[in-house]
Amino acid sequence: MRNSQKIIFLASVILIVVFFIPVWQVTLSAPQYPDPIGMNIWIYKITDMNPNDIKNINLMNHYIGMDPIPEFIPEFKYFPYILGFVIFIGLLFSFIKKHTLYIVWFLIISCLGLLGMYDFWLWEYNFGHNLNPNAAIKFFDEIGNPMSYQPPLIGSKMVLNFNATSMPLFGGYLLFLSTFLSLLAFFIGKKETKQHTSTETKSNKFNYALTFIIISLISCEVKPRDIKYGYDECKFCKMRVMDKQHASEIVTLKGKVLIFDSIECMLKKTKEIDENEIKFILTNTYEEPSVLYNAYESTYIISEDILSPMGMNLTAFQDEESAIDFINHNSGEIYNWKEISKINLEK
Amino acid sequence: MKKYNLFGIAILSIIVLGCSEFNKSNDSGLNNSTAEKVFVAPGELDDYYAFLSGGFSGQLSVYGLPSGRLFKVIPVFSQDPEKAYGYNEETKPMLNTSFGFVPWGDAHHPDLSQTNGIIDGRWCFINENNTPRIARIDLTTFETTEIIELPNSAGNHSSPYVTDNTEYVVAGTRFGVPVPQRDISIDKYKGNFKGALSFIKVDQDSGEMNLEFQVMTPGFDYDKAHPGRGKSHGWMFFSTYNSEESNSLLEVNASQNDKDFIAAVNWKKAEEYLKQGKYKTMKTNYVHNKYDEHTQTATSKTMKEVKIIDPAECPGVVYFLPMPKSPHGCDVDPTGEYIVGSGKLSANVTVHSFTKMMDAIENEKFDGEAYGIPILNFEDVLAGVVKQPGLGPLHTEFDDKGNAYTSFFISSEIVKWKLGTWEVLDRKPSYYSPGHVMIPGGNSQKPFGKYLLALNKITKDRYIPTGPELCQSAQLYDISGKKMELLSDFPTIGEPHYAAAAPRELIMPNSKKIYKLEENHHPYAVKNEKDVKVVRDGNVVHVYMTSIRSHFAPDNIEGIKVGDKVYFHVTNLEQDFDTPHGIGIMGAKTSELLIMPGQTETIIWEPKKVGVWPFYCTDFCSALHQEMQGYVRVSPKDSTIKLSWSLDGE
Repeated sequence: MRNSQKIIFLASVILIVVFFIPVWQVTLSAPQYPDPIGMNIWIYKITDMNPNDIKNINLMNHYIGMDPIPEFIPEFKYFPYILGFVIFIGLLFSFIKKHTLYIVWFLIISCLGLLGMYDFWLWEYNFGHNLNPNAAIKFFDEIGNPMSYQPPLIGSKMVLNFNATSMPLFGGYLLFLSTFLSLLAFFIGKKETKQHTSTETKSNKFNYALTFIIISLISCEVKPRDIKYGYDECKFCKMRVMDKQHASEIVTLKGKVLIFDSIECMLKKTKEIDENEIKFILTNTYEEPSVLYNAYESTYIISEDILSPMGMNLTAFQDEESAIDFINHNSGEIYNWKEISKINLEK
Repeated sequence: MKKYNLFGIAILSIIVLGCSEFNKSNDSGLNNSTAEKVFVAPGELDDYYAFLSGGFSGQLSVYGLPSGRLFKVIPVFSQDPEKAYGYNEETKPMLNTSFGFVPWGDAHHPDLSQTNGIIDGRWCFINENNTPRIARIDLTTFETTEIIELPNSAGNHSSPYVTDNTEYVVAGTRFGVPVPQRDISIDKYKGNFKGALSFIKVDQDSGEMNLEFQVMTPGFDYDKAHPGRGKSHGWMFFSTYNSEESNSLLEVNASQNDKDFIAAVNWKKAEEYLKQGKYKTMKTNYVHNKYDEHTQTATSKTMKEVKIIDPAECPGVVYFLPMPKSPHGCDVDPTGEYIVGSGKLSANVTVHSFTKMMDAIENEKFDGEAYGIPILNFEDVLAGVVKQPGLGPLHTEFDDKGNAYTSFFISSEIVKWKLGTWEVLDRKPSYYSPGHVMIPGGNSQKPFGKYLLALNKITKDRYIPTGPELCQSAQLYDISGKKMELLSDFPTIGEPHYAAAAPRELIMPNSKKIYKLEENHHPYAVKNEKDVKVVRDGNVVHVYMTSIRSHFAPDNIEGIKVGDKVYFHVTNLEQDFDTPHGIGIMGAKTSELLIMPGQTETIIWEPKKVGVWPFYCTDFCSALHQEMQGYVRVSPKDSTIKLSWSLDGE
């Protein structure tokens, strides 16, 4: 398979995601709305950004006579079919070694995209200009024409006391990416047709690069998250996580975050999981409560002088010296990660 | 001799209060940087939620610390026309008791729920002194959701204190009373009057309270209580006075014994006896009121029985620890080792040791008994004495560094001392006469030792005067340093008897913004404007009404007659944060309603006069709030005008 074919294949496949996520977002913010209200536009529906947002937008809009936001518009019926068709021919073209087809696909997707944007603008125009003459609040501009409240196509704009913002969401960016990739496929395909002599190694390198991009796209989601004290529940003992000195966290390779109220609970859980599945093990430390620190590098003490949530009185220190210092001034014993992970937890 | 002592204290207190002018000039000239420590800039948030009891107002107030700004008064035991609590049909049952509807209460001690001895921000409990009751406030809605009455109790003062895992909320009786209540001569007090210590079990999921059992102890006055913490978990400690069991002129007759007691109750042991069936079931009468989130309506249920444990027949449940001079405060330190008793007529603060107590019990180091309950030998349980710290010690809280802070009512000051060495480290005056002190988490295993709040009974000249009746106050101290520093004082509602506080992170994330309409199962709720209606059943009329910015539906109602009982069931259809609507109806003898988004509330209106009477939204809800109004036409009793209702002619 040629590289250009691979690209056009990828460009088609990523479009499948667009069925499952919103493509665009319109938000309204004002001093009284420190949390903006907004709506997410999908290719087949409009949803609340946060629960009840559309209801609240409509409530605000009825004072100036705007129509309620429709639950369904005719476009929603055929947009999914159009997208399905584009994906289908994209996949079809990816099996054909002909770069001119790729520019055709680019033109199709670009035209459809522009038409979609125009449709969105028309809808916004009607929405902002078609006002109920009996509205409670009517504003006029300087020459005496009734004011209109059209939200921006893309970007931000003040509409009365609201700052209206209209921006693509991840689905929208995927559409742009796909369009760009098809153009890229065309130029690469053109080069490939000319040269005809691409070596295996080159192709391999490209494959590696492609795989790397895909993997890093997936794995960039795997990261620790901040613990919400008083809200998160310990994955082992099911108690609420309160103590900022002893809470711990495991992040698996798949990006699953497990939170624990104490180091002992976290250690007990590690016995249940395959070590190779773990990406991060983190604990709070004595020195910096509520900051998560690499558990492999921490030094541990068991001391009656610091009570831990589940009774083992196990506390982590970032710095071995400060742990030793603590032990010298108080009771307790010192451990490193290897020792502590082997200790009998049922004591 | 005794009388001279009291006389001396009285003179001293006059001198101390008289000296206040002098004291004040020393301390009210605060440093400039002090102001910064309590200043929470516009738009910024306070670090702590503080729940201050409203005392005889019967309510619970919510303040922010360090600013001292008042955010909400939560109605608990008293009617509140602002929020229609105890006026609307939904919450009237909350104020029902075995004596009938009681519109007032005396709220004393808020205490927060705990997990592993650490406050967890789920619920706040508070006691009512006069008609013995315990209430639970849900900290997701900041509303009173449950009230349970306590039988056999009177002056419910040593309550409601929460155990390490909120297993129990305890409630002791301050007044000895005949159990069961009966017609008996008051001088038959001795031996006939009893002190019931109630243990209320708390369901860990719903928070629902259930009176599990009562320990029936001698008729002393059980003044304050504190659960064991950590190592002493499983025990509950009560201070007592009037071990003389006198029934008249207590100020003299109850101050005769050199020592009264701390009653140590082993509730885990009591649970064992309960399992073995070693209890008596007593017929009684008390009510249990619950607010149901789904129907948004409270119900009141009469309970008929209570399990009684007699400590004379169940050895090991109760022990008495001698404590000098009518102890008031009874406080246990975060480790659970020290039990601090403040003999309010003693010049010293006496501290007992839990370890020594267990040892004395094991080796039977007894010094007699009272009504079959062993009295432990004073010297054998004593941990130490804080010598001459001040006059009139009342209550003690703890920080996270092994220090204790005791309030002194008579000498009007807060004294900081060290656990273990019993040395006094610092003292600061308070203005004036503090009762309780409160450190966030200061009665739990994990104090957040940054601030201390002194809850003062007297303000005299501290604020611009408001006639003879003055406010009481709270004073905030910074206790993070070696010496305490007075930061600010602020007035409070009613009497800030006791308080509890928690870091905002524990409560803020769970605070509800709205009630979801789809979860509203109120029997009279209307969720769509199209479904509003008015229904007549004899002379009872039900108006199913909605409110949304900026109108009621319906807003014109005709066909109501003089003598009708009209129920307005109003549903607030809003689903946006901070958009309540209210309703006030001309001629109504109840209060207004104040309805939160997604909520339904009911007001009764009994028109007495023919005419057209307006109603309107009482909460400034929107730009067109003033337009949010309507009319009810009331016709004579024999009128034939049919019921009709409309909004904009439809």
